[in-house]
Amino acid sequence: MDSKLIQAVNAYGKTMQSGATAPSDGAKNIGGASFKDILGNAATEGVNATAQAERAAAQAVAGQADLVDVVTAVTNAEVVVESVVAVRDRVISAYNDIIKMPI
Amino acid sequence: MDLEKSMFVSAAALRAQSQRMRIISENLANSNSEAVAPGDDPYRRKVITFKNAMDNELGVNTVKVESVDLDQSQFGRRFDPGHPAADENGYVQVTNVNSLIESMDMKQAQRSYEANLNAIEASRNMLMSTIDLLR
Repeated sequence: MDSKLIQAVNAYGKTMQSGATAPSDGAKNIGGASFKDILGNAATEGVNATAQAERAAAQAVAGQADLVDVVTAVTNAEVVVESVVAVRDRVISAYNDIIKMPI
Repeated sequence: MDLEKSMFVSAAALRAQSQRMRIISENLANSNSEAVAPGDDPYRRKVITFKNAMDNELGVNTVKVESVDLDQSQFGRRFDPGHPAADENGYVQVTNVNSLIESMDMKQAQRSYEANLNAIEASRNMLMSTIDLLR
């Protein structure tokens, strides 16, 4: 009976330790990049891809670019923007969940 | 990302096939172009060759047009003494374009273009459905 109690206390202590260290490890893995930086980089990438697509489209209208280039540039921009928007929506919904959390 | 690279490769193939289509159109359009003076050559058929090209920036094998050469096969001959380019025996040299070969080449170019378009669409759909997992 006593040994079981000691085991339980030890297990609890271990869990507490791992629980205490896990978040700091996680934070280290991100390497100091905050959510703001990630979102900022993603948005910049999206804007760049869109600008490239627009340039290709304008060149095609002027007869300087291949239609295939326009299609690939636009598809690329679409993929980048869609993924940025999806991640943003997901993270904002996570923030909202935290805000609504009863304290 | 690999799916974006595959779209890039397919786009290169589309570009190559559209150049091939242009050459086929040139051949077909000139299938009746004849010499204008005795001793002149009529239109000589063009052939396009493709080559596997390494894109070092992306690290993928794409395709590009290697060269557009002239078909060295012999011209045909037609008996037409009234033609301005007829020789002393009354024969005129005619072009070595064979419209049957050109239409087969055209079908092949069409099918290849279609296959690469389908590949682009498939890659795009795969990317989009992966993004949809986040929603």
